[in-house]
Amino acid sequence: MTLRAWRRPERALWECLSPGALRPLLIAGLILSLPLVSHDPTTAQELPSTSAILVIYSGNRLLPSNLSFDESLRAALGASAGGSIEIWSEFLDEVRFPARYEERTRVLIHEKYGEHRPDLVVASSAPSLAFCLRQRTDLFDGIPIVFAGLGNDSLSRAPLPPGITGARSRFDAAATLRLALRLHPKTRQVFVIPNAGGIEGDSSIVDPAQLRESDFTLPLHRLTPEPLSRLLDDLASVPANSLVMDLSEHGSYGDPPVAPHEAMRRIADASRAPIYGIFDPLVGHGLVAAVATPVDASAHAAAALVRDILVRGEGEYLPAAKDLAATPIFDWRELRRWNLRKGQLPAGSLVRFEPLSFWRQHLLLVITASVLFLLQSGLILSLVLQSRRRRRAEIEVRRRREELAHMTRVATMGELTASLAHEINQPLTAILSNAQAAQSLLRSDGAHRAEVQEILSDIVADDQRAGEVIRRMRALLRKGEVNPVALDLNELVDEVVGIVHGEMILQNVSLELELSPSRLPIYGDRVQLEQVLLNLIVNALDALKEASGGSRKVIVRTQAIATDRSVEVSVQDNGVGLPMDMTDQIFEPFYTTKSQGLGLGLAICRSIIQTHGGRIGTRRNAGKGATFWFKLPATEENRA
Amino acid sequence: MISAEPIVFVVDDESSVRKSLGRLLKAAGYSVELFASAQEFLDRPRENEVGCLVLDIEMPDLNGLELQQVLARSDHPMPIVFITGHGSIPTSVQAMKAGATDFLSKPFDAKDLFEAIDRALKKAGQESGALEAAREAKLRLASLTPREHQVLLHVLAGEMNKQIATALGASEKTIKVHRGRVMHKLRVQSVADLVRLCEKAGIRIT
Repeated sequence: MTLRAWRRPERALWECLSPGALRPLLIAGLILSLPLVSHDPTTAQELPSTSAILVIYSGNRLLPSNLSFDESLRAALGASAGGSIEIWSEFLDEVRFPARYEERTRVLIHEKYGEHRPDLVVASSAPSLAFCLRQRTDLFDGIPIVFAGLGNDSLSRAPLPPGITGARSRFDAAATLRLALRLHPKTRQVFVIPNAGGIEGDSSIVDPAQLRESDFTLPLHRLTPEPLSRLLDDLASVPANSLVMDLSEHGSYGDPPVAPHEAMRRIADASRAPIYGIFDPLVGHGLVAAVATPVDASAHAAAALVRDILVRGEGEYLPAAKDLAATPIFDWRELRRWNLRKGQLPAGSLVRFEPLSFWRQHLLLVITASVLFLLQSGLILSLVLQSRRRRRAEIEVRRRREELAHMTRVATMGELTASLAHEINQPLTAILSNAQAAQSLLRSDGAHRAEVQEILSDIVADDQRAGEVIRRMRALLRKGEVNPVALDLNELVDEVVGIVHGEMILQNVSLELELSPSRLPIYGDRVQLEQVLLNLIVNALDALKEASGGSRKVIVRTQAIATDRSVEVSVQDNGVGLPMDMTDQIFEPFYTTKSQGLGLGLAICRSIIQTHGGRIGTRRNAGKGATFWFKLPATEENRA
Repeated sequence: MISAEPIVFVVDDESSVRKSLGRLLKAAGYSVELFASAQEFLDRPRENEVGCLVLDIEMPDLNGLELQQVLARSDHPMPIVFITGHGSIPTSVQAMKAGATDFLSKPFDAKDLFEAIDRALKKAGQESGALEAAREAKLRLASLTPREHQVLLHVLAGEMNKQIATALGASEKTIKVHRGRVMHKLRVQSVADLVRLCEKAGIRIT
C-alpha cells in the first residue's frame, strides 16, 4: 500500500471497526492457541539502541491466544540482530469485566505510560485496534500503530487512517466449504452454523449466503447457534452424509460464560457430521479444518512491520499493510475420526496435533536401545563364536590327544611284536603238529577215530586262541572313537596280561596277579584303559631289563578302596626303581629315563586317567623297584 | 646195556604244544615222555635210557638254555633239539655252541622235526655205546688190587717184567703172576687190547 492508502478518511474505518463488527476478530484473537513459531529469517538491520513497543491485547492476559501471539511476536522481534526492543503489554479484559473497560484501560495507560511513551503500538486483534483508534488522540498521538489478527473482505476494503498499518488475516469460508466437499464427496446436505449470539447480537463475519456462490447444488440448512444446548441436540440428529459448515466463533458470555474452545469441543463431540470452520484457533477443539491465516503467521507479519518501522526511525515512513494468505489447517485427530488420509489433503496444508511417530518421539531412546541391542547382540554373537571356537579347539585337542594315544599304543605294540608273534606261534605250532599227527594216524590202519576227533577239537581251540591274540592286538591298534562302557577292572587286567604274557616269558620275568576276588566295576574306554595298564607293565619290564641278577618279577594288584569309592590297580616291579627326585616329573611329556622313547607314554597315561576322572602315581617299594598305580572312580555294580 | 627203545623227552611249558607234539611223535612210532617244565624233567630219575630232548627255549623259571647247561654238567648228557617261537640269532648261536643238535622255529614241519630227532637219537646211540664200554672197562679196572693197578700202569708204560720188579722192589716172578692176574681180570689177551681198554676207561697213558 502506498502512503495515499492510509491518508484516506478515518471515518470509514471507524464505522468498520464498530464493536459489533469487530467481535469475531476479537474471538479469533482470543482462541489463538497453537503457536507454531517458524523462524522468520529477518533482515539483520540495525535497530535503534532501545525501542519500546506497547502491545494492546483484548481479553485476559493468560488466554492461550494472547500468550501465543506474545510468544510469536517476541520470537520474531528477538530474532533481529542488534539493539533491543522492550515489549510492554496491556490487556483490555473487556470480556469478563465489560463495564467501563475502555475508560478504565485509558486511565491506566495514560497514567502508566505518560512519562514513557512507546515508540510503537501493536494491536493484537480487532477489538484492541478499535480501542487504539478510539483513544489514539488521547493516548497514542503520533505513534504508529501496527495491527494484526483482523481482516475479512469488508475490512480489507476499508481505508486505513494515517499512521496505521498491519497484517490482514484471511478467513475463507468458500474455500473451506469446497475443501470439505472434496474430502466428503458423498455429502448430501450441508448444515450451516451462522455467527450469532454473543454479547453484541447477531453479526456474521461471513454471510451464509456467500456460500451460495460456490457452484454446488446441495441443500443448505441453517442451524440456530443459540442456545448451545439446542444446537447440540440439532447436531446430534443430523442425517448421514451431512456436513457442518461452522461460521461461528462460539462462546457464550452468559453466566457462567463458556469459553469459545470449550463450546467448540462440546459441539464437535455432539455432532454426527464433520465440522469445518474458518477460525484457526478453533482447529484443535473440534474443527476438522479451517482455511484461514494461521495466528503465528499474523504475529510474524506484524513483527516484520514493527521492525521495519523502527529501523526507519522517526520519519513519516510507514510500510504498506499486508494481506496474508489463507492456508488449509487441519486437526490430525479429526482426520482420523472421519477416516481421512493425509494424502487426500491439498498441497501446502498444515496438519496439527499429529503425534510424532514413535521414531521421532523417542529418537534418542530408540537409538540408545538399538545401540544397546546391537552391542548386546554383538556381545552374544562374539561369545557364541568364541564358545564355538573353543569347542572346536577342544575337539581338536581331544582328537590330537586320541591320535597321540593311538600312536603311543602302536609304538608299545611295536615293542611287543616279538612276544605277540610268540603268542601266535604257539597255537600255530600246536595246530600244525596236531594236524600232521592226525594225518599219520589216518594213514595207519588202526581205528583212531576218537583220537582224531580229540585232535580236531584241540585244533579248533588253538585256532580260537590265535584269533584271540589277534583280536586283542587289533583292538589296541584300532583307531576309533572313545567309547566309554561299563567295565570290570579285573577283566581288563586279564586282557592286558594276555597281551604281555609272551613278552614276560621272553624276558624271563615272572608275573604275579593279586586280583580282588570281587568284580571291580568301572566306567571308561576299554582300549584307553588297557593302554595305560599295558604301558605300566611294559615300563616295569623295561625297568627289569636294566636290573641285574635275582629273580625278576612283576606283581599286578587290583583292589577296591572303600574310603573314596574308587578302585586301584598297581603294577610293582623289582627293577631299577625310580630316580629319587623324579617321581613328579615322570608324568610330564618328553621326560624319559630310557635311552629310547619319546617320554610320552606316561604323559598320555596321565591324560587318559584324568579324562576318566581318576589319578595316577607312583610309590617307591620297600625293597627294590617301583610301583605305579592308578585309581578310577568305582561305579555302581548294576551299571556293569 | 643199551635199552631197546630210545625215548624222546619233550619239555615245553605250553600244554597245547606239548600235547600235540606228543601225539605227533607217538603217531610216528617214537616213545615219548612229556614234561611241563625243565625242573620236572630234571626230577625224573634216569638210568641208562637212551634218548634225546625236544626242548622249548622260552619257559618260565628255568628256560631251555639253562637246562642245556645243567645237563651238560650232569652224568647223563643228552642231544637236544631246540624248538622256539622266537628264534633270534644270538639265542640259536648260543644254543648250537653249547652243543645243540638242531634248532627249529615254531611252527615247524613234522618231517623236519623227525629228521632232527633221528639225528639226535643216532648221536645219542653212539654216545651211549661209548659210555657203556667205558663203564665196563672202569668196572673191570675197579676189580684190580692196588698192587695189580700199580703193575698195570707200568705195563701200560711199556716196561718189561724185570724193570717193573726193580721199580716195585719185587721179584720178577711175582710181577709175572700179578701181570697174569691183571690180564685175566681185565679179560684181555694182549697188551694192545689192554691199552685200548684203558683208553676207554679214561686212564691217561703216558
